[in-house]
Amino acid sequence: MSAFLAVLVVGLGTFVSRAIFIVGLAKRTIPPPVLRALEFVGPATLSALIVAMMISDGRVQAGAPEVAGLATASLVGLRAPGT
Amino acid sequence: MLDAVPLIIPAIPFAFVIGVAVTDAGLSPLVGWSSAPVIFAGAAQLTLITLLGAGAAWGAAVAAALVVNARHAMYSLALAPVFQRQPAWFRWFGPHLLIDQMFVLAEARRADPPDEFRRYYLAAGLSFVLFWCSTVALGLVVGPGVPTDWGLEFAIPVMFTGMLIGGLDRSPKWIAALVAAAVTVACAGVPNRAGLLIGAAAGIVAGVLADRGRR
Repeated sequence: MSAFLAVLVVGLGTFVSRAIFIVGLAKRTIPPPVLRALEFVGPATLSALIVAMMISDGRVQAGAPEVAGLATASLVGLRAPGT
Repeated sequence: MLDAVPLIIPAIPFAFVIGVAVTDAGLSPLVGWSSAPVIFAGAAQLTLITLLGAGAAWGAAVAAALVVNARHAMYSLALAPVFQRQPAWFRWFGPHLLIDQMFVLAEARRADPPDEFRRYYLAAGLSFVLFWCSTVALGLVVGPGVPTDWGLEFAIPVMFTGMLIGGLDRSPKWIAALVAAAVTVACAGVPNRAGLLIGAAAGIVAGVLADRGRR
């Protein structure tokens, strides 16, 4: 039972972290300088996430196949901007 | 919905890992499975289940899982302007589907007309929920016999990289992404993926400064 409670608490906390700004900023006028700063949240977070996915045991794990895969993906991304 | 497929397949082994982790942790299968619909975030589910199974204090396990999930607040912030154009029910329901994959898909579609964005988001998000809940269940039923070392996991960062680079349409965004990556590497030793948050924050600051420098 206490395990289920842990699941519920983490579920609630996760929902809060996902909803906090979407719901919190729903009716606010976001000032233009903040809006400009928000443009960088996506690229910065995504980039950090990709690196974080490759970290295990406290260090980056990337051998030749991983580096080749990432390089290919980067080239594909460059050729298809905006997708 | 088709866009979700290449992001769903590499997550299959991960769902199996969670199913097996529940069995290893000695949790009731139903409670373990409930983490899929209730938490709906693989890394946090695995953190919580593993720590509970290892006999960690209840509060410590919950806190660690929440730190792992704190990155979602960044997604919420990035997408807040997009959701301003959406009805209230969707602003409350949409965030529950906001997993890493959904964030990447939504970022690419942020300029879509609101109705189209909503249909797209719901179709992809609900596909992920359906898939995730059923594969975690499958992992529980089939048990430790399932192969989890397909090496497919690496497909996720590769696909994310393609989508990240595709969205970098101005040089300050490049700077934001590069600084975020470098700082996250430097913070590799920080536990519970918290280095991600430091790296993302550094990237945002770098992007804003670079943007200002160009005006």
